[in-house]
Amino acid sequence: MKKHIELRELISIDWAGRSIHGTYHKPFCSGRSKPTLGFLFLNYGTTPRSGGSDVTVYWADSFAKLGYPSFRIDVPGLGDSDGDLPRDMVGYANAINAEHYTAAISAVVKAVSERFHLSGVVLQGQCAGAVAAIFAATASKYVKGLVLITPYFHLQMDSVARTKIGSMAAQNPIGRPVRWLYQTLKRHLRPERLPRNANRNLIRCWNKLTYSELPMLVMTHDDEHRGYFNYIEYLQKSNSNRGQIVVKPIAGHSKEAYSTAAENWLRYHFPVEKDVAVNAGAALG
Amino acid sequence: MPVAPTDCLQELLEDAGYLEVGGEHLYTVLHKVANPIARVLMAGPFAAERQYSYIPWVRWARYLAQRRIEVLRFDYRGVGESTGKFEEMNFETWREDAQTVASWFQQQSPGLPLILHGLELGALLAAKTLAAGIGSAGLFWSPPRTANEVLRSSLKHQIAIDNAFNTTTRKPASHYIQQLDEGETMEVEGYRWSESLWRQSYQLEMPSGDAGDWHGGKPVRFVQLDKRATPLIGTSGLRFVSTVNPDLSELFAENYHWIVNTPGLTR
Repeated sequence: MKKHIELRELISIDWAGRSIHGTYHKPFCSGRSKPTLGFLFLNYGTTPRSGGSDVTVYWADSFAKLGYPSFRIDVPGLGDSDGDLPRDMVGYANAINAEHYTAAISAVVKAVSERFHLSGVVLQGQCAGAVAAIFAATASKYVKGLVLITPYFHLQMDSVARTKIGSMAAQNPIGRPVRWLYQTLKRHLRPERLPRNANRNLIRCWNKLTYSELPMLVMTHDDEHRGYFNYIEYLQKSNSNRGQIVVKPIAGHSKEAYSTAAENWLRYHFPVEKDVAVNAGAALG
Repeated sequence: MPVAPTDCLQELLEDAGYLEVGGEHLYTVLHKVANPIARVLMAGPFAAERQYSYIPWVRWARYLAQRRIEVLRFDYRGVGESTGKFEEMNFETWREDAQTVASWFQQQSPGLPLILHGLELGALLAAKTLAAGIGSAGLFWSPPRTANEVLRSSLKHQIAIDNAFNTTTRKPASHYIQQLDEGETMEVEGYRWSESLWRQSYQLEMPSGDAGDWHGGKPVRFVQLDKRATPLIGTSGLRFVSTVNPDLSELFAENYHWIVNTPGLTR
């Protein structure tokens, strides 16, 4: 069996006595100029590194075509990587919130940067992966930017269940006005402050990254905040809109829409060198 | 028949690689074993199910490997880590994948009995491969009667999503099926279904005893998984899975014991 094929290579990184497995998507680039920044995708929830409906494969292929070396990895316990894993989603979310995966992700980011001669990577995470990415970015100098899809900033999983129910109720023709009325009354009767189950450790990390001016792209579903606390809005206000944070609501859930938003942001913050871009353009036809 | 001692659990050695098939590359993971007593080829479920069942499926492979049964698992063309575009694939493609990988595995040295093991769609493809004369036995978990049953299950989930987010123009299942029967392509759970995928799904059926001794007298075992095996099978309408790493030790032990205690399946 081959490890290398034309556009991909299977990689594994040793960490704490076990192997973390991943796939490297080779960038289009000229022989003269090597890319200096990579793009690394974390698992979406507990899915394997290909992502739900194999969407992460699509994204990695897209970014590699633009000239960014792209990597998809399985954190310990997920996908093909061995490791302990809690029994249920609550346990997994708690492990993420307790920074259980930070050391592993930091090790992977460092190993990938060194092995492929990169200055670092942009780290992408979705949902729980976004939370893990924030922690890892605070811990690792090799994380040069973040793309976060629907990050959450609360702790207890029961509140996630409530927000899922709330989100579903918000779609219901009767639930929607009832929920609107409840939230309006709540806003007027109580001054805006962090919910009691806010993940304050995560928020501290977020604030650190904001003040360090790490480029961050936050993508949310355009209807995500209907019905519950908008952490991103709160954090931006409380930080006086400091930092290099772009918040992009995405209508619908198309992988193309997310990919386009990330590509535009990448081109602005981390442009591929000119001759690399020219070659990638030629390759795209 | 000697039973491999479980107090001598093997150190795990997993080797991922690509196998070329039909101009694409199938992603495979070989759970290598020193001095294996048997081999198992694991054919996984349909694309949309893969992300939910992956954790317990991999753990099952490791369970077997720890007990000196060498395991090979793979992704179908156009799915997961394998190359190719899903919309260009169909059930004939995936049958070819299963047969190619099974033939490759059977040819490895030393020669050993090969058990073809599948989950849902994989069970159907494993059965077809066994019926084609490859392999020594079959272990089938929750096989559907036809591939169309698999697609309809995925379609149900898509309808649940569509109806949850679109309360004004809900469409019944019959509307979707009519469109597919009329040859339209459709995106279902993030995968674009082609006309040939839908059409072939009616034609691909689980071999049955009515068609004669399709497995040539080789040992076969059918297991109908229930909700205790979630998320190996059977996630709910909107696919919100609370258990990600269930304790399936009883299921694993039962099936492992069938392998090692069935005459001719281990060396």
